[in-house]
Amino acid sequence: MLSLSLMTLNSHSLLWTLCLSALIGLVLGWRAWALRGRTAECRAQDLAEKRANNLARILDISNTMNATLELDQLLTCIAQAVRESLGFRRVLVRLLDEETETFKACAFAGLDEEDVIKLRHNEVPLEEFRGLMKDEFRIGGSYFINHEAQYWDEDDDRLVIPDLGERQEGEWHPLDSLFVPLRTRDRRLIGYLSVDDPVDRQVPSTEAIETLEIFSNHAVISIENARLYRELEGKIRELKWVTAKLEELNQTKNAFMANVSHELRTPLTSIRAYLDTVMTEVGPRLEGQHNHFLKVILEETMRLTGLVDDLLDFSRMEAGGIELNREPLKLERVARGALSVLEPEVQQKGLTLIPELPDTEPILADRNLTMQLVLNLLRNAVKFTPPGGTIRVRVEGDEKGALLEVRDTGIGISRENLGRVFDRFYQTDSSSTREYGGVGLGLSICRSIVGRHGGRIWAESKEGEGSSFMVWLPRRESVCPETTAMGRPRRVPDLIVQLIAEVMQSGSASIMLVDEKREDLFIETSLGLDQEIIENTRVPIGEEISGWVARHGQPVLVCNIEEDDRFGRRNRPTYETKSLLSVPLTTGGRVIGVLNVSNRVSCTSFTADDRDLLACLADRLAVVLEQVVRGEDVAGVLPPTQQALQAIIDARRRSGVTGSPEFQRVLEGVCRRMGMQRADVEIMRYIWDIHDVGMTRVEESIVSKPGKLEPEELSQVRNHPRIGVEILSPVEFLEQVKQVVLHHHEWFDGSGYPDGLEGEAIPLGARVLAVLDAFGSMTSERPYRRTRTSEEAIEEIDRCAGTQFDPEVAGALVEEWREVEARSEKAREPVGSGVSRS
Amino acid sequence: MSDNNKCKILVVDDERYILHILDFSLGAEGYEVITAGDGEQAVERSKADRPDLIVMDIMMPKMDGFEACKKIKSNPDTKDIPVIMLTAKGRETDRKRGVDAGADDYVTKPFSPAKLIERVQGVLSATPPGTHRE
Repeated sequence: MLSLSLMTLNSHSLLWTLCLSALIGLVLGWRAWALRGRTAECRAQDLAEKRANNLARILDISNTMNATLELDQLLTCIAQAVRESLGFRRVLVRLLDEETETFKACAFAGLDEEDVIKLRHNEVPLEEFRGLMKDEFRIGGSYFINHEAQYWDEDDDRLVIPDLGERQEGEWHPLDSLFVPLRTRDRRLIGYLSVDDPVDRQVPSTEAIETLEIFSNHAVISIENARLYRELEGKIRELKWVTAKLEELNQTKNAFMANVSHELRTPLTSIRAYLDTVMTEVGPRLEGQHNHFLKVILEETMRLTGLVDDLLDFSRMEAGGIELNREPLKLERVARGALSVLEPEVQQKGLTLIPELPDTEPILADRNLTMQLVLNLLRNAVKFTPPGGTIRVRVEGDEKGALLEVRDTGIGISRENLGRVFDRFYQTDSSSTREYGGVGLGLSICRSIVGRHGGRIWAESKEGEGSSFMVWLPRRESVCPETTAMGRPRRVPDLIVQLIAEVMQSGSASIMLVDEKREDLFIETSLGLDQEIIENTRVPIGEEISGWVARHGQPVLVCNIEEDDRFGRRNRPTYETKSLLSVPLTTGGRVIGVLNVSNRVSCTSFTADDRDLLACLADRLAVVLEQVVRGEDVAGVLPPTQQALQAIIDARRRSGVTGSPEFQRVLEGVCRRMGMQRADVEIMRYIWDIHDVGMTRVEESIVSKPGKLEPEELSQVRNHPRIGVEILSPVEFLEQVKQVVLHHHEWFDGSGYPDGLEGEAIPLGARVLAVLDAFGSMTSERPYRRTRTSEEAIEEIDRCAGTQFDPEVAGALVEEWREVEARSEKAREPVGSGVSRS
Repeated sequence: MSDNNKCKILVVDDERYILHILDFSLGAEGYEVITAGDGEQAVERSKADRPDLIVMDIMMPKMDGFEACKKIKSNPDTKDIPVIMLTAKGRETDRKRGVDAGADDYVTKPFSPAKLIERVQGVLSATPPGTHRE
């Protein structure tokens, strides 16, 4: 009989059973007598062997159990193991719910649906179970209740009593029950196993019970592990949620601060303007104190304006709303500029300035922000240094950047406060706010500015002796993990979805990763999906679109989800449009995840070309993602990878008009004419998007400069293919791609750059790209005069065939263009018939 | 001061106090001041009244300063009228957008009227009055 539960007594009545038992008893008695004939030695050997077998089996099962962290799955696995390996056909696992102090039925083996429902429905109070834990029933640590004890009321409809057919005396009886408590190491009762219907029909021996107990001890360990895991998972989820909420709150706060400060500025502008006018018009005519009063009002207005500016700058910086406008500048010049601004204050306070400003190499930085940075540091030094003190300002160049030090002989900062001076609204003690003014944002703004430039800021100080603030700024742009708009790392996966969404012109993109343990996919990161969906989505491998892609390692293009039979025509509210793409993320032949895009901005369907391009990108991204997922040397890998991805996004943005379908068609046509295979054409399409990635490092002023370039500027431009390859390297695994990018400015006659390769020594891809690049840039500048300029461009390319361009490729472009022209000509003919150009 | 009276300046801002103080200060310098409260009005008035110079805020209802400046600069009748934009401090991107929109100069808010007058004189001396009114 199973647990405290189940089936009503069936056809045989108790009386009938008793009669039968008597008969069976006789037969069994004889068997026992016969067995006694064997030697004791023999039995001991049998026993030892049996035990060894049992233990081996348990070990096997335990290993399986330990690998299972999902609690429900584990409990089922336990029930099944008892049924399959420990000799009971019916098994029930109940776990104690500590809150309600009842045992709940959690897993079953060998029971039919009806019994399961009944067992689930009936919870066993802890008290009731304690009641049967009597010494008279105890065998080892378990409790066997013989039907003869008549412990159960057969009519109790909570009981599940199996139909075991006819039973003989000494055999297991339907009303027999065996409970194996599940106890932790510290003897805490967490549940019990209830077993029924032994395979050998025998009332279990002490050894059989012992085996069950050993097994249960292992099971308890696994259950505890799984519970811990579940708890941990819950905590992690909770933490993630809290983090997201906090982030949201922070954003709201920043937006609020930006709004408020903006609103505060409007009246300040009027006040300032009126005050100025009054001061110039009537100020000189006022007597005695009154003119002084006006001055105080003006000073206080300026101070308020400064505070509001700080607030606004800070909240904008935090929200990432300030774009860097990098240009080459010399730190010592900025420092000189800042010193001259503060000169009056310094003199007024009787401070000595000691500048050490030697010539340094220029760094690429935002002029206004760098000025603000230096000014803030200097202002602080002036503010916190008592009259008669000294301020040293030192600049020093090094290989990779420039260092600025501002050292004062001021009040200094205590050790415990030193770590917090860069925190927002932090002044070492609140009384200093009154004495020194300000809202404590200056240094946080400095930190944000330095962070945005990928530099470092730190401080050294001794209380009473003075402080020293150091800033290091890199010569070139470098996106460090800790330097982002939010002051937090932008994770590589986030960058990837942004890149994908942009490239594919879609509103949503997501990366799902394979959870090998659970054999399903979860959303690692996404764009355009609700947090709730991200957290709760798990797609078993093989199910739905992503699961299908993960299983087969093949990309899928769905033109209309409502008409696609492959995936059950199931639309989801997250699909605003009906077309979507899903491609596998594969490294080394293993699928590590799936990349999904949907909600195309134009509301049109994705095409096979889109699918192939995305697959091409996914191959590269998978390499990066795997490194990130494995957490490999993240510090080293992240910055160049982020740079590479950011640069690819920027390059995509720049490609503009030449990304038009017409141009893409020309590109493909030329590649095909040059004998490229489909896969190569795909790679060319990818290269096209990123080939000028090196230009993102060329100064904007040079890129947009009309007219002739100076030699130095020219050499910068000429270096862009090499820089491009450098940028792409962290994510590019195809040598072919790097070669094409590197050589797309080589001339067929050997007079190009960077290596002066000649003729067919230039990779074919690069020769093709050279022609397309020229054609693209000639036609994209004046999109509104397209036809005429295209014609001119074609002539120009034809003219340069053999010198600048491979004549064969140039010929292919000319032919392809004529064909495209002819086709669109034809398409234009039947006016009003609705024939589209494609 | 007296030769300023030939010049007509259109001041555009949605803040009535700013309009008022600019009207007062520029008026005191002998300029003829006309005003508009948003970008749309600014475009209208620049066509109808042909000012010699426009001083214009950026954040305004209906049509912002950039848009209005672009409209004014793309109309052959008004394209030669110099435009000074009033930008907020720290918004360097605004300055860039202003240049893109065709603005000739900018003054950072909050400003002192004396400084603005200096800029107005500077811009006007670069473009002699009346040049655009053929």
